[in-house]
Amino acid sequence: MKAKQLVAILLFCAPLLSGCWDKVELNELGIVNAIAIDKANNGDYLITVQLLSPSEIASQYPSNRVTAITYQATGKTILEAIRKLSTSVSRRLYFAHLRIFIFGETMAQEGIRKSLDFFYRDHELRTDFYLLVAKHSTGANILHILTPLEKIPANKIYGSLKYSQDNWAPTRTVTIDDLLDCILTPGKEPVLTGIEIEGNPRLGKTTENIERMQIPAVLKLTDLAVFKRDRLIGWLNESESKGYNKITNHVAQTVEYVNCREGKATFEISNLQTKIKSKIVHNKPMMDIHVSGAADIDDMECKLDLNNFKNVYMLEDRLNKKLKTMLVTTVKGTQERLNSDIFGFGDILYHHHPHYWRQVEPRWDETFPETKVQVTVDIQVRRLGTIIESFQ
Amino acid sequence: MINCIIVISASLIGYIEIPHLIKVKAKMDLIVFSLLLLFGLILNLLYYNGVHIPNPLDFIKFLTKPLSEWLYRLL
Amino acid sequence: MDPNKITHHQFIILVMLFTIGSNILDAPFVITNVANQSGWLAGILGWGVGILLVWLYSTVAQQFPKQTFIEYSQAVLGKALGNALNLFYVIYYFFLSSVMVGLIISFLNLQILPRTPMEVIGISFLLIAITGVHYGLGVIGRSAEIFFPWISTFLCLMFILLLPQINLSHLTPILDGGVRPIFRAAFTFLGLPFLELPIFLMIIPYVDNQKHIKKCFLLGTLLGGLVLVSTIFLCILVLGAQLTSLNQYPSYQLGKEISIGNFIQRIEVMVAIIWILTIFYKLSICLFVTSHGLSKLLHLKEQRSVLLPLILIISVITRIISPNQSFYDQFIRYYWAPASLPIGLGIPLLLLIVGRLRKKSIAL
Repeated sequence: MKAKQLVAILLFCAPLLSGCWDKVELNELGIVNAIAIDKANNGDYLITVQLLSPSEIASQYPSNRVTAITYQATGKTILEAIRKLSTSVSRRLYFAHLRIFIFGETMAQEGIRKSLDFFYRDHELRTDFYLLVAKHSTGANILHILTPLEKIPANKIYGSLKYSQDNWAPTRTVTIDDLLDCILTPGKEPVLTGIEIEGNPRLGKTTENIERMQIPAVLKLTDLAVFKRDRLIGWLNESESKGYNKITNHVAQTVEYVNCREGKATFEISNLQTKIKSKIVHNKPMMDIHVSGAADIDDMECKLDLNNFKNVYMLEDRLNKKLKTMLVTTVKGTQERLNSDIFGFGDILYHHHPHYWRQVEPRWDETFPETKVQVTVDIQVRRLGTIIESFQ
Repeated sequence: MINCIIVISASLIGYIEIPHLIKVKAKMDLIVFSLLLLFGLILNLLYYNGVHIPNPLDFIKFLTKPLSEWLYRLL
Repeated sequence: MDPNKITHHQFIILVMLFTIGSNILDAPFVITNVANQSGWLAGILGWGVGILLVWLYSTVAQQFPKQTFIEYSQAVLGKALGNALNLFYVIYYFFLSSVMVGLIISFLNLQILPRTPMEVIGISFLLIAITGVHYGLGVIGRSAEIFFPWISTFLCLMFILLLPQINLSHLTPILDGGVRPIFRAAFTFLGLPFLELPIFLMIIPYVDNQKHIKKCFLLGTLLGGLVLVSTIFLCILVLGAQLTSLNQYPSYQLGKEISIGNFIQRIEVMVAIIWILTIFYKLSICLFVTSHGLSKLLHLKEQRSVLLPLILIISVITRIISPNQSFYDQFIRYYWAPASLPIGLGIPLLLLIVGRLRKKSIAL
């Protein structure tokens, strides 16, 4: 009898006792989708967050209210600024769905290391958001632009970053893990993709930006921002950005053209594989970069008879030479103009020749620009598309 | 408030165990039980009323320090 | 029937869970901090020495098959010295149980339940563990048998899902800092699970099949050590030594890294489940030995009379001994292994030698 009573009491209590101390209902959360960090005029952090407006996104009958809202606050530290936001946001900010993280250009020039700690330390944040740098702009301005195709601006950036890394290659998806790894590892410097506003930023902030067919302001991913330790020191151009991604083996697919008789032939390159080996010649480091892959001719705009396989070999040879020049100029440009070891040559030396690395590490800044680089490119043309001969 | 909770839970523990211990006539058990309960009660009351209690690990640290330093220097 | 009886299968599982418990989150961080990317070598070294130690413990246990540690240390070393050692032994495992509760609290509070009061987490955990201990070792053993498939499935799943994230270049250069850091890290690793294992000297007499005890003990340690070493290995392979030693709970971070086709991801709670279950059994075993040892030491009639007051004491001691995470980290890194040496090496050796010498004079 006693046991039965006890079971009855327990069963009665169980539904009441479920749930937990830390429960937060969905409608109490402000889901942060993107965050931008800038330096305010007085040297404080200026934080801009972009929140989703769930009712607008999910609603079947959309009103003309915007789907995402931005809020701003300044503070001496990151967390102070974020908590200050609570004076303007009615909900608890929830960071687990953060997609995009933007540094303002001046902020990046002054160093980003300090601002990263909170985002790696806090338990709520995951590590799968992408970090970017605003080019010629503040991060806040970027987040204020409305985007027509995607209801949520941050998702637009996230999507184009992913698509562009896979299919075009001058951009780079960098997560906080990657960034910290580059900052912390000696002999390896970080890069981040840049983002800029093309068009009229003032119109971009209004709903006019999503009502017109031709958009007044577009968010555009640009080339890579080069850091030294944690400071932005310069930008790669488009060709260098593509070269950088090839050297660091981060390209799934890309497109490349070569000049040929009265026109150009464009290749789609896939299966790119890069291997870097290091040697020490006369007590000087020497990097051996080997690129291999396969190419398809996708766009033939020159008068060349492809039925003759010699012509195909000629195109292949030109493609390889062009890529080689591209990679060599990328490395040269970085060595001379920026002097930042973004390729991780130092790290490769450390892995292959730890004793030598220990000697050169203290003066790596002087050694890196003098590092000799040897590039071999071996890309083979496989397919010619659905037609063989061009109709030019 | 917190003192109330501590005293109530301590007396609850006493209420659960003491009748049983008296029934089985375990004299030694009763003494050990009461001492431990009293010790726990006082410890709780002191801690939650902001009295600084020395950390026992500091003592262990002090004891093992020579050994630890010697070993890690050796290795 | 004795409620404390367990089968030798259950014994293997308990040894394994005890070895994994808590260290699966602690060890990678502590070891890579000292030995960097060669941490896995230190892991293997510590594991090997640990197995030798377990061989020593089981030899000691086999000398006195029917008795617990508390009983035969009195018989072998005499009442005064024996009881002093027994008191030390009980206090050691009392602190170990407090440390376990502290670990659970800090992990849950940091990663999963940030605003739940620490006392609530600690006391609810203690209450469940004490219930298990109250019903006897048999209940702990059987429930461990039930949860064991879950733990092993989750572990295998974690290892398999992480394979795509592996980056072999994280391992080179091997032995970059020389061999000294490896010895240092191996010694710390030795203290983390292996020197704590004499706890089973209190449990071995309750195992049904005494003949295979040595084999079972060794097998359990072997498997548990394997899990630990492969976790360290994976942490280094996936995160790299830099990020592993930056993270407080690298293996939880490992769970966060799992992402297969943007589809299977965000399953780090799986790691949390493994950890909570293993540490629960570690805590239960520690509590059982503490209370059982105390009642044997003081010749109490019943073990349960010390259980409930222990909750009161441990819940406070837990708060006192780890005032903050960095104090605790420093403690386990530099002091835990040396502090465990008397329990893990000194006392078993003493018992073995004196036991051999006095074998004839002691009537067992």
